[in-house]
Amino acid sequence: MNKEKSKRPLTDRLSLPAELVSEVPRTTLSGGSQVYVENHGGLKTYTRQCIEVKTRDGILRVIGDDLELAAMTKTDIVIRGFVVSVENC
Amino acid sequence: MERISDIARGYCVVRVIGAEPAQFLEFCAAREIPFWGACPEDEFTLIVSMRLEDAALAELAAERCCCEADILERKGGRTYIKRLSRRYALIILPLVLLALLIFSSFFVWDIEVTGNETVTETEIINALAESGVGIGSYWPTFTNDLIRSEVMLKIPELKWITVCVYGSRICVDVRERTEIPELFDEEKFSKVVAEQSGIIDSMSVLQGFPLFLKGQTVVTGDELISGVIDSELSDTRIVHASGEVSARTWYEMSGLLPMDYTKKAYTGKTRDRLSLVIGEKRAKFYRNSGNPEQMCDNIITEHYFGIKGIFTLPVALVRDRAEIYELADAQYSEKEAAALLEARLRAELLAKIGEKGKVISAEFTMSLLNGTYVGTLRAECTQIISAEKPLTEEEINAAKSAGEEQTPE
Repeated sequence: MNKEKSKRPLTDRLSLPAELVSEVPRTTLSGGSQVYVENHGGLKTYTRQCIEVKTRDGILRVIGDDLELAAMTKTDIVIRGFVVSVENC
Repeated sequence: MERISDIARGYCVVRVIGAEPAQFLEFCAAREIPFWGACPEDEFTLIVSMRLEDAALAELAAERCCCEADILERKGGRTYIKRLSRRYALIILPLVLLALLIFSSFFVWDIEVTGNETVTETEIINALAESGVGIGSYWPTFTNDLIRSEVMLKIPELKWITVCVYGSRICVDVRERTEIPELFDEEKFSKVVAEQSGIIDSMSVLQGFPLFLKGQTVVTGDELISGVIDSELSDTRIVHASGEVSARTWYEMSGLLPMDYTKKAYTGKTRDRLSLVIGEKRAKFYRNSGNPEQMCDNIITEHYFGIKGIFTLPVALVRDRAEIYELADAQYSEKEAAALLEARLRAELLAKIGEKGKVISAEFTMSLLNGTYVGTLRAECTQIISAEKPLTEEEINAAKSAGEEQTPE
């Protein structure tokens, strides 16, 4: 029980919003056509069907059709297209 | 908006080939090199658009990411300007056109007349042309007062005129004089007579002595209201008789219409002729401008160049469309002839009974006689039959002498 507790992030244990901790990736899915990723760590894969974004916690995989990198800055990525699934691997 | 500004500044399309082309994008994002339209062609190739000024940086970025960058094409403002810089005509021509447009806006190319009711537009335009305001005249020299006084002298029916200039179009607003109503002249001795035979319906006598009563029959020319008023107490008075007499009238009118006639039969063939009108000159784009041998209706359409409501250039494309027809013999059917004749006779009847007249009942009959339709309209109407007629010298003298005889000594 104690071990499980220790695996949980500190913000979770203190009932605080996760984004208070810097560099925590935040993913926003808008209506199945746009994915907004904040605090990314770079691109791993970029194809029309799959875009993999590196984050602090691992890889964020966006699967869909006709996917496009609408905008990309040092910290943020905007993916547009027909989004089927968003996976955190 | 960003895209538009990028296009205006110029951009290039870059193809990135490498093991991991996504890294190139990552590198650009990290270095804040803007890019858009990133499109993966396959697993190892990526097409991306970037600002022209970042092209060198892109090549460097590709090298860092173990990729190869090829600039496929250069587009946008700067590239176009570079291309245009060698084509002087394309730069000079719009400037010349702009200068011509500005220069032409100082001249009148269109005149619009408003507010006229009885005076025709042509009369006003002609009077304006005589005052120096016409197509092609230089409007900055116009003075409203001068134009007004000159035009009003030429057209006395106008009481006010103003000229407003909108670019190369001028709007002439006019106001016409209101007609002075005819004054009732007491000194003009007259009587009221019947213009049409009928049975009197009503009489409204304003001045004079009524000679008929309601329900009596009158014939054309009968004196209805006399201008001579006899009096037992004083002298005979001669006045300007006036009044309105309404009567029931009857009409029988006939009209003829030949059964056979020739009508236009359009062949369906048309012939277009184009010409360009510049000012008062015409450039024709066709031969044989004389009247064609074939019979045709000509429909002329003029398309003036310019922006509607703002300015009009004195250049017009004129299309003269000739619709060719042949004359063919035809016959009126009984129904057609009846409708045509009845309409004609009714129009004639309405003109006869005047504006205040009314048709109480009407009956139309038609017969065919030696290839000619004969239509007859019988109608009962009510109308104003009174009309003023000045008394003659003889009538006045006779009335005066009769009055003197009656006067007791």
